[in-house]
Amino acid sequence: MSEEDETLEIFFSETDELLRAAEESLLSLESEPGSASDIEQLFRSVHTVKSGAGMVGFMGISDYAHLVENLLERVRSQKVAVTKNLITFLLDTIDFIRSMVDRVAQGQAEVDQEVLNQRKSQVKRYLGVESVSPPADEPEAPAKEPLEEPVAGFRFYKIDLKLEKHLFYTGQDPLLLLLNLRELGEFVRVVADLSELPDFENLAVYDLYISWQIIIKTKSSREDLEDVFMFVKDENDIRIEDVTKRYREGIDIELADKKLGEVLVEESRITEEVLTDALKRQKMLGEILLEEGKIQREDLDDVVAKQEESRTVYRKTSIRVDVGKIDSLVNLGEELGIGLSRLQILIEKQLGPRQIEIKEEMENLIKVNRELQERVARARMFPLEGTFRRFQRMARDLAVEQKKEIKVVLTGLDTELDKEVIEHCTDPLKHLVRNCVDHGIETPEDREAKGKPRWGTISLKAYQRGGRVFVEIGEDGKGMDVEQIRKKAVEKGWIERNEVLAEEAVLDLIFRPGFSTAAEVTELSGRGVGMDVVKTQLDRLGGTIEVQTEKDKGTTFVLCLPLTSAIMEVLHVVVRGTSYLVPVQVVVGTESFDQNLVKHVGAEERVYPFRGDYLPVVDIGKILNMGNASANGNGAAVIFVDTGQKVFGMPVDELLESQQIIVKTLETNYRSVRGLAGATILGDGSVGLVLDLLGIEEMFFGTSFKGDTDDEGEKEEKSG
Amino acid sequence: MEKLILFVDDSPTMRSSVSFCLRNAGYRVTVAEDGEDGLVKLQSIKDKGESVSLIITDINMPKMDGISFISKLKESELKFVPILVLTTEADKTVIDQGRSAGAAGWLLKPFQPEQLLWAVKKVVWPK
Repeated sequence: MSEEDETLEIFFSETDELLRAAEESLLSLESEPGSASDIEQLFRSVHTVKSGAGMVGFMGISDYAHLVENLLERVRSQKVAVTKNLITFLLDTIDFIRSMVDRVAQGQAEVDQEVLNQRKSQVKRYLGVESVSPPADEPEAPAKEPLEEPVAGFRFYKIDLKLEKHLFYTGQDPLLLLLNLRELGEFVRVVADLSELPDFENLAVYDLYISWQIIIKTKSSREDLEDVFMFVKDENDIRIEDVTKRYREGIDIELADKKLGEVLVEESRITEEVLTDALKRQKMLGEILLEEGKIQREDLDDVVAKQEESRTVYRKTSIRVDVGKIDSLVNLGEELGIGLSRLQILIEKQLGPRQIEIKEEMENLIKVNRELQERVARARMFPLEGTFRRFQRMARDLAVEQKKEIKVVLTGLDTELDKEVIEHCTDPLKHLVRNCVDHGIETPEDREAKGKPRWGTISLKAYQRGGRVFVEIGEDGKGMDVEQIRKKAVEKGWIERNEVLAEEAVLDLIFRPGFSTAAEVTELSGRGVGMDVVKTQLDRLGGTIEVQTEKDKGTTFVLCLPLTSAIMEVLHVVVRGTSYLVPVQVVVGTESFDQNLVKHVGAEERVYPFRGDYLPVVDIGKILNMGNASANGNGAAVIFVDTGQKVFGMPVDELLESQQIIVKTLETNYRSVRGLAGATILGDGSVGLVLDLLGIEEMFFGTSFKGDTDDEGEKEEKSG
Repeated sequence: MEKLILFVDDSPTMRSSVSFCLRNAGYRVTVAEDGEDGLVKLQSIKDKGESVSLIITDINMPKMDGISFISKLKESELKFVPILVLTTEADKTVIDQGRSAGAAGWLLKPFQPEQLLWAVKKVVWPK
């Protein structure tokens, strides 16, 4: 990556953070309009975006941000009042800046000039209209803020000026060069190297012995700088280097990490020899204390170790890593695990005097490997903060649109989830948040009439418990009408009019396809996505959803998500010689298979009793077209699964232990196969197929049962 | 007292326009028609107890050309006075000749007043 690209990368990621921070400040400002710290934070964010954009040459962004900054300056000096309108407008300006940044990040032009002008005049209008004082004093604004443009558009150059000895004989004067150079910018640093200067008696007064190093901060181009040296550049050694990256806010950031001696030598304050000599005599503080007997060696070592540890933590910074790299680590860890399991099996077969020791060591290695796998999986994890913040913003926008007043409370922002899980649960979560605003929170008037505060509260909460992450999305709105849901279910013929159902069971009905209580449609939620889609998406992710509601108190959705989508707890079963893996969370029970209990329905379909009901029996081998087709479809055991829509049994020949596996998709190496979620390599090195039970269910019930025994399955589901 | 510049060129138009431009910019200008004339003018400046801050000379001139003129200057006590050479050819060799003779810089004709002044500024200390 070239230095320029790197600077850009830094600009993009910094700007992304700044814009998010700005948004955060705005939202927080909205709930507390007088907050000086929020205004300050906002101002600084925009200011830094402006400067940064200028530094990397995105003048459109820089110009626009500059105007926004002016507006914010007026907010800061309380010339412009913080109103809801203003916040909405400012949020919009942040979005616009982001859109420009996104465009340049994709290699497009920042913005269409016309659009930019239009946007600019919008801000200008705000500057004019919302201004309490007459616009006449506008030009004063920059004067009030001397730090207005510290680095916008400036670049830093390092110039090494080594001129030939006889320069004066050409009528040139190095000081004049420096003088002309200084007209182009500000000298951040000038170092004269006097090391070539001879003793007085050897000094030729018309010879030049001094060379210079200059750091200049300038808006001029490199060509302008070179032009200063036009007459001397050919015969002399003059190097101009763009060191803008090194300078942040005018400060040389490289100095931070350099040793004092290094800097002194670099700036020619001392020579290399002097430094080496001085260093030789220098003693470590610890050594001095030890010598004087003020401290014991162990104590010193202890503190040094602690300090080292602390420094390691202190230096802990985030780096960008390609997910692919982490995935390959995941794979390696897994292969290691497989190797270890095979070794373990071999060792168990190999009896010998030292078998116990080997076994213990083996178990230890397995433990270490498990930890390795867990840690690598953790590297794929991100905090939910970004996702939550987006929802906060979305909820706010929706509420404004619907003239509702809301407050969004976020908790557990640092709860981490696998990147993939986050990606897949974003849509369901978004839908739920929309629901909160659209259907949960009442209008301010309705709320007041109910004796509730005008502000509705939407809370997004995340926490981890027992290897799973819970996300709660709740509001204090009107709550769901259980009776209404019941009536609707009766209308749809899903339940009997006089059927007795627990409240939870009724609430579960809202996750069924075809159920929608939303009569009204809002701009954002009117996309025809029902709760059933939310549920399906969570199912595919291995998550669950529950709803709690109370009339006029509000509704809360509780999502339970797996920490990572890669690791899965499965039950290992064998059907006609093929290993299948069934996700443990859908397994509701297992029983040994008794041929006599099977009841036949029609020509081919069979049902099997389970906890007082007859459940359909699905022959996996037949469905997937695997193994011996002429087999009878019986087995040694039956495993019962609940997909959330259907409960059914599957006869298996062998029921083995449950285990944690890393699922590999088939698409990568083969192609996607209906009914299979993926595959994994088992401890003995053989391949196990991970069942996609929703797929199996579709294949089975969609083709053969055609709904005739459907009802039975569903009654089971409702009552269970 | 304003800085004094000696301008040597055989073209009257050039002498006129360049001195106008330099005077306008706050310099005093003495003009000469060729190298020989230049040496004469320098002598009289010295006689008056003054000194030149810069010499601008054309290269192709009758009697004494620019390069010889520069060489003479470099042998004199004026060897540290910066010299700019004017030339019509964008030819490196003329520039190189001037430079090896000891000129401080060069200027290609035709030039704009700003280019002239910028070149002057590079070699003459401001007041």
